[in-house]
Amino acid sequence: MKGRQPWVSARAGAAVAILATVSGCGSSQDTPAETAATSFYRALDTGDETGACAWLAPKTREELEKSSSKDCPNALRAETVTSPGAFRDVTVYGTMAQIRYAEETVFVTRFRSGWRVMALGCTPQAVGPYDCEIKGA
Amino acid sequence: MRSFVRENSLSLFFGGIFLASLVGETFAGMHQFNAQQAAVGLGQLTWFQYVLSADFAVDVAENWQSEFLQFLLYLTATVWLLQRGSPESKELDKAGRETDKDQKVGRHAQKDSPSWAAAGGSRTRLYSSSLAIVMGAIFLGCWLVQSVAGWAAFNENRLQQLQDPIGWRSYLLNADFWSRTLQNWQSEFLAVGSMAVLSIYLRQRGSPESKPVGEPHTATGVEG
Repeated sequence: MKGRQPWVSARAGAAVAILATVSGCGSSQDTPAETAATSFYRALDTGDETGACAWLAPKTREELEKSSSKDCPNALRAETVTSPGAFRDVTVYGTMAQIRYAEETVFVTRFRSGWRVMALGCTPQAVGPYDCEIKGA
Repeated sequence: MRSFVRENSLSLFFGGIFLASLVGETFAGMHQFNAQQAAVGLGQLTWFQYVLSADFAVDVAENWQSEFLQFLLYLTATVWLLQRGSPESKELDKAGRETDKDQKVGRHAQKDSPSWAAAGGSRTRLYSSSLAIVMGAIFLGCWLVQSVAGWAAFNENRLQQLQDPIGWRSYLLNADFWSRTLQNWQSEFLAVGSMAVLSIYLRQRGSPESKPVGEPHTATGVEG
């Protein structure tokens, strides 16, 4: 994971602090788009990979399973998903939202059932789209 | 009632087909949007969500602004510009804003003229351009809505492609804004120009937009 501490190894020590930052850094209420990302990381933090998978967009989940040749929960266990760091801001346009954290950017998308994580572990590139650790097609 | 419908049939007809087309656009647009979303594994919109979406708003506004621009330009250009033989043009010796007598304003107003035509001063000046002012205001309003809705729709697409959104000012310089704008403008200008020229030689019997069928091609400013 490019030199960052894996989520799995960071769980025990930093969980509370990370959850505080992911959930809005003191903001009183998440937007629905933020809630999807927050819920995903919270589920990972509590070891509920199955719950975390439920917060992924279907295409993202499909790509994750395809690229790892594992089902989604096991693929997430194998992935070294890191803490995104402190929440910075969220930008929403229609069915899409970009949530920027200190360490990475997350893209979420809206379905009729609610917002789901489309890409995470994203870092900007000099040219072109973000490079993401996990994403849909 | 029958008399009301007959005497207002032109506006009722166009009002009706406008609403029918707009409603049709909401359904066709929603299916097109949802098909594109499904192709890349993204969520679907309900009809109500689509009607409130930037995608629908920009599609509507970009067409509306160009239509009102078309009539604004035609309205004002035909004050000064002429087309020999066209019923869309004034007679060749009448270019310009014409005299108060010709226009029936101020002391030349008739008993049944609009009160602001007879009032003189700023009210008559304002009323003398009121159609262009309102058309221009609607054009600018629709163009502004197009820019904001187009910006939101463009950024939604950028986020789908995992790219940062851009600011509204940057969008005003973006090819997407000008492509949407100019593709509508060129079609309106073509239609108006074609009408001005084709009506020199071609006729539609009974239409005030055409010369009478037997009128010579050289007759200018004559409507049927």
